[in-house]
Amino acid sequence: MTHHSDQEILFRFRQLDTKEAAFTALVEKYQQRIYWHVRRMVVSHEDANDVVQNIFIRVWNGLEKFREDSQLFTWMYRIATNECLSFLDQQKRKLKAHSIEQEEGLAERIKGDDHFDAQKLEWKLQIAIQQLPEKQRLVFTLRYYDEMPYEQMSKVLGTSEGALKASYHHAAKKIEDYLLNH
Amino acid sequence: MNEKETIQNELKEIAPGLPAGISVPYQVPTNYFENLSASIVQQIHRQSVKKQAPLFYLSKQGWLTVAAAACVCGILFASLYFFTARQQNESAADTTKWVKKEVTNLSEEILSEFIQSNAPIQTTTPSVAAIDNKEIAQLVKEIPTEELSSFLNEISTNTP
Repeated sequence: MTHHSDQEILFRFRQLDTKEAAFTALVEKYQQRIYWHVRRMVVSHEDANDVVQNIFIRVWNGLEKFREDSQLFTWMYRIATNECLSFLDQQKRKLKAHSIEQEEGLAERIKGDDHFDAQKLEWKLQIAIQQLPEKQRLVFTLRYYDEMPYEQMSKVLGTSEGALKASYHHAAKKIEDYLLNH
Repeated sequence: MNEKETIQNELKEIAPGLPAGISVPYQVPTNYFENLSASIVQQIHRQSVKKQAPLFYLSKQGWLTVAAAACVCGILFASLYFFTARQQNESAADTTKWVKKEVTNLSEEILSEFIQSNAPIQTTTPSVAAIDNKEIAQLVKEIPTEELSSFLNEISTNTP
């Protein structure tokens, strides 16, 4: 599938007769990266699907006002991250009502997956990631899976590069410890 | 050095026991990404229809609030109605009470004088008795004799 450039998508989005087609092109271009960013954070597909739909609706509503002072993808990642965090906040409140810690709830959800295999390294890694605090989890997945440079990550999360490096180092160490002991 | 290599070297340095490039084990339903954009566009259409014709849905909580407000209004109106009616009754009762009190203060002589004095009722309309007899005689004189005799005939025929 050939993808249009961000400039072209933005130009077509601003024309009334090509607005919807441009938006469809935008979704098709970025849907997988946005979906996996969300899925790694919220774990279940159903939740990830809800969050992804909300993200793209927000993108539709805000794209006309997008001023291009940052990259389109960075702007979308920021929306995606905020949506993920507010979803996780809601989940946290629900779990708290049942006296369950969020990390524990997410780990249980991973173990409940039909394809879960406790012996496989990729599943162990997922459980280890869910043990991390929310911010470290975000930083680790953006760096490890999305291979995002600290500079771009800093724009997405609104945190200094130094703080992000420290956060990633802590997260990687904790995960290594978990993998060596489980 | 590209970003991928930078990240791998960085990871080797800080956590050598954590291998780079481990994949995500989660599955996605078949054709999910093929249909995602259409499903999002559909949602946006639904959203714009909702925006055009705003409807207010009340949740269970909302209905309870409206019902409670209606009850409070009902109670307020009912209270207001009964309070006003009671006040009117009380003012009538007060008048009766006042009259009774005043009457008991009057001496028996005054009361019996009042009852026996057959005082005429004063009205604003002039009674027949108040009209002067001379005026009547003058009026009768002005009526032609034929009309008078026909009037008298009518009276005699109508009376049983």
